[in-house]
Amino acid sequence: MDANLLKGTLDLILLSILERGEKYGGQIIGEVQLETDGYFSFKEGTLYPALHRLEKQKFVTAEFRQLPRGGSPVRFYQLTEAGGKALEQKRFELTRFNAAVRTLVGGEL
Amino acid sequence: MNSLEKYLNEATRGLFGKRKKAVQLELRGAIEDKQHRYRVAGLGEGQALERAIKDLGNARAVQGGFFRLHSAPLLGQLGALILASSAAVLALWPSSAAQVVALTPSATRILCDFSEKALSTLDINRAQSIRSALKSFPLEVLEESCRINQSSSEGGYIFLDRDSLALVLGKAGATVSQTALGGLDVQLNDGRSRFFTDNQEKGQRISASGFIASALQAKVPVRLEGLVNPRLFIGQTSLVIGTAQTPVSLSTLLLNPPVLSTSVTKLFSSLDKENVIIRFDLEHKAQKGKLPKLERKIALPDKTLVLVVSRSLKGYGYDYVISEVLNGQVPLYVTQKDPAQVRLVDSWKALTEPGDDNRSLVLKLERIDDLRYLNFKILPASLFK
Repeated sequence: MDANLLKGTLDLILLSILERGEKYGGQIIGEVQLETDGYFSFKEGTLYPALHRLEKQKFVTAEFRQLPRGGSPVRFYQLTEAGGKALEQKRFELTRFNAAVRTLVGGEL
Repeated sequence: MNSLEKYLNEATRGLFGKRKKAVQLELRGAIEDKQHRYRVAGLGEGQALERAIKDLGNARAVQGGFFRLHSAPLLGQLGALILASSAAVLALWPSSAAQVVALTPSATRILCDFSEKALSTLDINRAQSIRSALKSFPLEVLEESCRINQSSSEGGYIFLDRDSLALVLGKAGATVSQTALGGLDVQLNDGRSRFFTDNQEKGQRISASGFIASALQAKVPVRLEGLVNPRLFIGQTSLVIGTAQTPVSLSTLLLNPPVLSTSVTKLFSSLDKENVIIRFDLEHKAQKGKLPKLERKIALPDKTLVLVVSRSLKGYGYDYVISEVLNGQVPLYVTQKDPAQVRLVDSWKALTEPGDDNRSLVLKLERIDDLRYLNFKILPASLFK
């Protein structure tokens, strides 16, 4: 997919995934790839700075937790109330954006 | 160093302290998790690790994302009322121009308004510092001092023009190319020293202190020579920062957190085991004429660099300034009390309460000939006259 498209929708994707419950990076990547049939495929390295940005905006909180496999802990991310509101806003913006593009280019979006 | 450690180091280059450790731990956990899955799928340990690292993506790209996100607030911690509001233009020797970012005039006006109404709009920590200063000095004196320092070319963030910097480094024999994120990939002419530096969010600017810090992170020997318009030596390469029209002081460069963070973090870890927020401040020559009572005679040669630490309000850590001894005097914020002789940081802490800046801890900056090995030494009260 076009990298610019991903850039514009990454926050929305991450917030949507976390709306269903807390997850760590590997789970988020797996879920995105599975549900979009590989359409949204991005490196995990791209994911972490994006999650940190959302944390900074107080849209998510995070904490380290040990997995049963042992070894180093992983960081679980959880949507906050502010994150939920941001998600609603981003969904609304996407809907408006799609409607506007549809008007310009025609066809179904 | 194995491939995992190498990757973690590369991906967190430019981050410091707890932040760096936390990001490394998170990436380590992610890689180990992937590695575990590949092991379960039947791959050998080494192969599983390589695949896991590959899945995370290019370390430099990851580094760029984290650096951009986490380095800007660090610069923002330069909380002094003077620092945050200055503007200047800086040039690199021999002829290439570089620029320093200026704040807007409106921001400047707000910062030098110390009326109670204006203070009520500031964050509590900064407002408290100003209110504390107002107990000792008239409002007009502080506001005037603030305005003077805003127009000083010494204060504020120093940004280097990326292309000018690349040009100067290239002339000095380094191989320089632009990274995908708009920063610089610098390969020094010793054939082995290589480091990356990020650009700022907007424009083709590179933070001078970030540039120095990147070199230090790569363990490249770095030193600064000269108090005004210092010559910066990076490996075998050197360049001069500042011009006669727009001078840059050594203190300004040293004060920026990335440059001093390692040494200072080490220093303050001995002050307090709790989380410590360190605020940086800058002492200007222009201030001295306006606030003469802030100075104290000291038995140290002129131009000795000293670090003056005071305890901030509880929960807000410590404030400090780096200053030069001038005319046998060291600038201190408050001098109502006689200096006490302390040998240990704990003794100093026992004499003070959080928020008490009447007794400052003065430390001598031991060496600046190699920024990799900065060291501070507590000065005894007997040196003060």
